[in-house]
Amino acid sequence: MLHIEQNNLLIKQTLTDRVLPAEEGLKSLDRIITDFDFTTYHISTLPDNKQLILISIYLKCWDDLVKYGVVEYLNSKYGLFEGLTILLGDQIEPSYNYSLVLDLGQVESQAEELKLDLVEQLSFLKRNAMASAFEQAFARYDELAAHYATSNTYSEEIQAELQNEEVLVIKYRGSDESIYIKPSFDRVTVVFSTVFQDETDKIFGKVFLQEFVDARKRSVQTAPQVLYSHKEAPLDIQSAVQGSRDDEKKGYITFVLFPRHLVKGDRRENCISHIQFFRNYFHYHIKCSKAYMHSRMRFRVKEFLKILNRAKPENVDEEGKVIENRKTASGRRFVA
Amino acid sequence: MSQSLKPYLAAVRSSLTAAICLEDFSSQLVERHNRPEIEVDNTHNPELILNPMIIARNENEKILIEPSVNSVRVSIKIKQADEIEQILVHKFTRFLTSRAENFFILRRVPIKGYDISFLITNFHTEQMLKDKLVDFIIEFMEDVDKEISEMKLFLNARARVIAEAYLTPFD
Amino acid sequence: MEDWRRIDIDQFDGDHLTPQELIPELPETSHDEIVALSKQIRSALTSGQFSEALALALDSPPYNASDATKSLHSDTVFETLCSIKNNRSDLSGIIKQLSPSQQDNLVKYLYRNMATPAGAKQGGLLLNWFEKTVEITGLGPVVRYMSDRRTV
Repeated sequence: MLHIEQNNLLIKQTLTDRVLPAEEGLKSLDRIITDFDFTTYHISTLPDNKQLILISIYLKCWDDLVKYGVVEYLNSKYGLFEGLTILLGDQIEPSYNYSLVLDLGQVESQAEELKLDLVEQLSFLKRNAMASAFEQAFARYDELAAHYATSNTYSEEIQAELQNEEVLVIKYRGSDESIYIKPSFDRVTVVFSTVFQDETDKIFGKVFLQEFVDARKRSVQTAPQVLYSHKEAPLDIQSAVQGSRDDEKKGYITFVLFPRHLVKGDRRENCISHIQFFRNYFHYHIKCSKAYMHSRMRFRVKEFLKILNRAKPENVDEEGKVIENRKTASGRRFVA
Repeated sequence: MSQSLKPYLAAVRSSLTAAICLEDFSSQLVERHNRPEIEVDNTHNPELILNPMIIARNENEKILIEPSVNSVRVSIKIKQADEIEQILVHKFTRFLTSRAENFFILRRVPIKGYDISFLITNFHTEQMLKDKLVDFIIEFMEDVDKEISEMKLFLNARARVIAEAYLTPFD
Repeated sequence: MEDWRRIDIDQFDGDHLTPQELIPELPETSHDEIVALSKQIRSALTSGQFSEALALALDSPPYNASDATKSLHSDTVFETLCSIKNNRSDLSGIIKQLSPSQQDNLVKYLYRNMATPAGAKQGGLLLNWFEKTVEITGLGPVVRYMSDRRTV
């Protein structure tokens, strides 16, 4: 498994079982699903009507996302579906950020593909929530691109203006691990700040990132440009960086997305889905490598033990005492 | 095998063979004690400790053999060319030392300046064949180097694959 | 009062050896003698008398001398070994010509030099000498190195 799934399998499974019931009779349902990045989903049937399923999501960076229009974005995504009601204001489940109600009664009559499509979209809830900020940044890029299309972008005033362009900040794992997005007229810069738990993570991370930086030169020429800096935040976003600075364990990874990645439509959607999960992908693979190293070391230790055990004479019992079981040629034992 | 490895291992082999010549020896200071003399403070019994030997292949790879009347301490410094190898060696030796009880002769804490230490006492040589013990240390030295460089290669290969796998779908 | 638990009571038991007592009594070698000797060895080396130079260096090492003197001589031996290695390939032949006690001293100096940073840099060279020596002499000199209190 090279890539991490962007949707949530458990949501998909749970809901698929509901919209395509295999057996008669509805049971009540109450399920809390958590993702690794502090995201929590709650799927439950409403107490008075088992036909209605309440789906809520909590995101650590919700407050940031609200600034970038997450509610409108999600409403536009999910408002289209028949049988899906978006709850507003006080109706939202307490301690969650966004709630939807799925009416099975309305969905039942629909074609199977439509149902599956609905479930599919719901399982992308987190992806879509995060995407709102990227959408906004990319929209700003469109504006800037149109605005500066005919101007001399090398002039100092314009450079200064671009320099002052607002940076979008998503503190998706608290202020130490954030995503910074800065649109410009010919690119969008996405910076991830991340914290390495220990020395090994840091060094493995360095090796990985070096390959990310080199990959573009070597084989994937059309990929976004990747830059890596340790400890110090890149100039572009320095004004927006919060949280502890000069931390030995902190690293910044910059992706420069070029117009070719931002073409409207599928490609842009794909780009958004892909880039927002960078941190998860990256740390996932660090952990995988560590796990592999461990299994290797386990194997090697076993081999070493075998070699060491060769040093023991053949006839030793568990406690290392020599067992006397030499026999004569005719099979008789020696008597002590 | 690189050029200087063979004489290095040969020197370690002959030095170890000479050094592992141990006998049961009761403590001269504490009644009814029998302890590895190389490990205890021997300011009052200097005659029990023999001259230590250092065999060096280069600055980063050497082995220290400290013989005494009933125990030999062998400390190995493993080659570490860069940060990655350093962390791999560190992890690997820690992994080994935490399983020291299975290894009988492995010391839980290495001597300062070295990565891993073994302590061979007369009780070990009574239960195990001396030549095979020497073989073990030699093979250990060979395999550790091999293992570390293989792990490093693997890490780089993996990094390359995942970087490309991540960056390709953008386009 | 002093912490009586920490008192080293063994020191009051007079029945043990001191490190000084272990070292056999030998006439002291002065620094000047070694300086003179190293000049002699160097001139032998420049005139191409390699085995003579090595024999000279290993004949009467300064067992009883100051640390500075000892390391001076050790450096001289190291130099000799390097220049022989660079000029002659037949190490075994040279080693065979040495007397047993000179061979013992050779092994002592090999160990001593490997323990220094400069020697560690030339590890390959010293190991080469070591391998050839042990091939000829067997483990004897190694054991004698460990147990001989006349350190170099």
